[in-house]
Amino acid sequence: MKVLCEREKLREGLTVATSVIPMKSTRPAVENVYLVATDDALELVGTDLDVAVRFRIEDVKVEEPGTALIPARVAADFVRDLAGDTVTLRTKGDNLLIESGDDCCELTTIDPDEYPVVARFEESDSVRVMAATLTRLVSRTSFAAAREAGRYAMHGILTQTEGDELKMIATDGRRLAMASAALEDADAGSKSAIVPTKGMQLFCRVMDDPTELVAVHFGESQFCLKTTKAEVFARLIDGEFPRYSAVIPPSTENRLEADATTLTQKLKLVANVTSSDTRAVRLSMEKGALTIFGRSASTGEATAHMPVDFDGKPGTIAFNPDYLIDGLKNCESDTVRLEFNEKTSPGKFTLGENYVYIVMPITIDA
Amino acid sequence: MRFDRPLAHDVLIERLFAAAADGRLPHAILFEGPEGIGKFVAARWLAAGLLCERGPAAPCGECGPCKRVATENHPDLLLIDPIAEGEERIRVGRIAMRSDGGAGEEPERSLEAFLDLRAVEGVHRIVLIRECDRMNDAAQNALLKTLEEPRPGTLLVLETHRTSRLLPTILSRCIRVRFDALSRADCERVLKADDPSRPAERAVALARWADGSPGAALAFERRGGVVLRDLLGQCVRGERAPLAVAAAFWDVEGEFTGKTPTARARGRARFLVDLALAVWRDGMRLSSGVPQSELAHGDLAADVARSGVLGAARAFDRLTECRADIERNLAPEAVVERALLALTDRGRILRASKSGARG
Amino acid sequence: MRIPAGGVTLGGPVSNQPPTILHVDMDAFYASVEMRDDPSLRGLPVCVGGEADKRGVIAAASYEARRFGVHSAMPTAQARRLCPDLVLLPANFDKYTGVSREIMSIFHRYTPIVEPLSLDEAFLDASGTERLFGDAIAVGQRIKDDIKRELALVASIGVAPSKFLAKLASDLDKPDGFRVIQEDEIRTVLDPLPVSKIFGVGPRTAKRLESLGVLTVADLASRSRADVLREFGASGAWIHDLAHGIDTRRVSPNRVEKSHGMERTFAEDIGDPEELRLLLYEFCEEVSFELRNRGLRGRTVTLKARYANFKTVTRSKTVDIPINGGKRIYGVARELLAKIPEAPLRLLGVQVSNLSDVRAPIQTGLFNLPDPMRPDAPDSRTTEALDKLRRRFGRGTVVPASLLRRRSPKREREGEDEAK
Repeated sequence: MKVLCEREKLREGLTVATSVIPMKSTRPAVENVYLVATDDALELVGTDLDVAVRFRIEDVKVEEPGTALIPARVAADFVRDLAGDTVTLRTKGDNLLIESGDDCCELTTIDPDEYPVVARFEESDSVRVMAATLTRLVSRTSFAAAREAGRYAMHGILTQTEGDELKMIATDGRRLAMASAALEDADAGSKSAIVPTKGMQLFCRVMDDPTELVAVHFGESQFCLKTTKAEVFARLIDGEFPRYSAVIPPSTENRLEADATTLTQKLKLVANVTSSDTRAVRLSMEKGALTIFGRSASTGEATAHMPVDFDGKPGTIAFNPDYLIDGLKNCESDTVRLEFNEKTSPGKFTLGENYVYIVMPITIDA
Repeated sequence: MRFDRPLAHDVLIERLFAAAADGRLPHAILFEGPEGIGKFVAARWLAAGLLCERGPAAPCGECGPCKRVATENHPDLLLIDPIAEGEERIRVGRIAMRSDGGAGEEPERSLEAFLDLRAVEGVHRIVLIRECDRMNDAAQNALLKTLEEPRPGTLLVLETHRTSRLLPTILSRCIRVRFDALSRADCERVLKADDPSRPAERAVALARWADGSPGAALAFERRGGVVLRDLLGQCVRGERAPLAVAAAFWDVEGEFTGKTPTARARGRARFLVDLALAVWRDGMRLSSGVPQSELAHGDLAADVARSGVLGAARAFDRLTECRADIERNLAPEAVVERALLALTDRGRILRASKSGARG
Repeated sequence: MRIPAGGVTLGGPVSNQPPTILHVDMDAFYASVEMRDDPSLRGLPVCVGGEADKRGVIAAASYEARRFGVHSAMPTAQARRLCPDLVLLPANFDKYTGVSREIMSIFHRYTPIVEPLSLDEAFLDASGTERLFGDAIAVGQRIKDDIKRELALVASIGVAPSKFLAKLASDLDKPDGFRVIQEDEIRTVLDPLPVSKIFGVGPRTAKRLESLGVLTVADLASRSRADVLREFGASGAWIHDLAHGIDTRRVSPNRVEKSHGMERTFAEDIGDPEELRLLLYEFCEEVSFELRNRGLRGRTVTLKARYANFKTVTRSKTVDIPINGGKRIYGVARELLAKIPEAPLRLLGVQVSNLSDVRAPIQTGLFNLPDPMRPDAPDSRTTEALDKLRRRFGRGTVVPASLLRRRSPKREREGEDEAK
């Protein structure tokens, strides 16, 4: 293969590709970046087997199409430190030469057949959405996904289409975030996949232009994204997502509306005294007023008050303050609404339009 | 190529490929049978054949998937190989994710995490666990969870020569495939294929000594067994004094595993005593009328038999004692001397060895 | 400003609290047990400890011996010099442990929240006992009486709003004491005491305080917090708090217990799955009662089974939310029993570990909360009532109906043991 391309474009492509390539892997071939020179473009492919990215550089001169598998980090570092504006990549026997002006680097290659097959984006049956929409849905939900060991299905974001709507749901079993937004397509049908949080976050990194219209494809085993520059793939989680709709209370007896900023500040204040083993704050509400109380056996207790709109039966409910603060960070409106039925049933926070956050309370019995 | 055709187990493997072609392959298979007869080789071959573009059938060795299996780059094949990794045990972390994967380092990739994502290339996801009896109880229990909820397209191949160390609940959830020891001819064939430069007579002799286990034959060779056996012969025939043999013994080149020099010395002493026991066992069999040609150590057995049934039995008892002493962590050097002294029968020497070695 | 009391609280505020914490301390425990068991010793200066010629020390001294200046931890040789007629007995810890167990079981009649400090000393939290036994003072009286009547031993009891004050109270009135410190008398009690009475003020600290002109608790309390902090660092905050009667430590019943379980070896191997399930249910009910009695619940259930060939298997399952109800434990244990190979068993057992205090807050889950697990479900009220019956009238009083039909005489022959 022989390709001539702009150094800056190559650098960008290698940076994106190496961002997913692991430093060390039990499958040594994936520590490499896979170069594919087609008639009119150069592709850089990187994967850690969970996610894969295929970065496309269009303005290149391909003198000889071909493929090469080269050590990713060395290549990326070398190209980054090159001074010239253009770079030539060409194979020489079993090696690949990276040349720019008077500088040159010769890298050993390995048999491309050792590299796992990375799919190509399938245009058919794909769905179009604004990059900003996708990114926003991910940031609205991903924080609630599970991180610790346990049910693997909850380590991903359930991503669904229904008509012209794209919906994401993430939960760690104690709280759940659900958000939806409009697709650019009028009817995308009904699709569903559990996409690992890590994959979704990679998608967000790759989409650098929020106004771009991107395409997503719900594959059999992968969730795929296509931007003008790159195709990104994430292996799906093979599992069953919890039946989330049952935990969203359809109607509630108690309703509280509070200024989101003030509530965040008061929660942080009271949370300071709660210890890590009893991470709990009690919200006591009555008409017009909310009292936040927290205590720890070893350090003491704290109380904070704030005015709120409350409609319901005066009472209390306790939550892990970290969960509430996580949600409030993402609150898109000035006021946050909390609705619940009993102190043992889920609290439903409305953090924006088409954006709810369900948190299970903490029960305290004597 | 990192996967080889498993010699001498063709019928078993063919049957498994046929089952796969019919979609009748179970989710979990246990390859059991004596050590060193190619069970793990067979397991790799099976995995390669299932992932091969032309599969399920004997792998072509040419296609991308075959090359990826051969170079351990196939994304849908997980190898848990404590031997290659130099691990005594298979820890629970290899089976199921245990640590909180929060900040800091990425937790080790576990079998569970591997199976939690859909296949990368095809539909099959395959896990091979070598010497799966090295899993501790926690790991076995964690594996049980996976066995209880099999997912479509997944295959677990467990390999062991110590079936009794597995939980009954694991056994009951696997289809057990029994591998038998190889015939002497097959064993020779495997040894020849392993290293064509090895002299033919060496292959023949190794096959005879290793009791149908090429793995055992290779280990025997690696441990300097050929030279040790010669030394042992000299000692038995009285050509060289036991203590001289004992001194020479420690200079023989051989690979023994173990974290400390003492552990390696203990392994070496154990090897010698086990070899002597095998020779003596053959000697006693010869005395009781088993034809010499059927014995692994027929040549040495003849010399043993010459010392008479009683003398042989007495030496055997002493060797058994030495074997136990090694496990009791007595100094390996002393045990080796005592064992070699025990071989050159005669009560006088035996008594000397008793006071000498224990002192 | 405080939150009005009422309903479930996170634990009440620090002050304005009725005294609910008891400190029970047996008077000259080892010596008293020996004197109780041997009437000929009564009235004599009795000590339990090691021989003088073996460099022994006194482990416990009767009040008669204390009059000679003998006290615990004193070398026996010195004690003999002070009191030549001293009666020295070797320590019999098996006996004291047995008596201690009886004492602790008396405590458990009144509250599950007992924190043993040693064989003869414990903190109790008597909040929530009002309806059944009266307030903490009444509970303290009953405990003192029960110990006297049933064990012929004397306990000194302190009742106060905090651990520190309760311990102080039991000490103030010793021996045979019963002292209550009410919220409004904290200052009058504390002020005149020497600073060395404060928990954490050793001879060294006392000396340093003295050099600063601080002799009494009142002196210490009147110092500014900043001053004390500057002088003594973090421990200064602690002793300053105590000088003001502030002590937020809770009585924690599960200081040592890591698990609770029960297993039984059968007289004959049992192969009938139905019978095994019934036995398992019985064990689970028993373990559940013990857990509730100790104010604990656990997340891990372990089943142990030994087959006729002595091969033993254990299977565990950890649930998301701590449990202590018999049905819940059985639900998990039965699942585990179904997973082990079916064959006659010579031993069956169940254990609950990963224990926590029942008062610890629980983060509830979204998807795994069957109704009986909810702490306020009607079921748990029934359980509470049944436990009270069990405590008063014995374990056999209330049993699940499914266990009633298998009270066969065979039970008598079964060896029984409880494993921790």
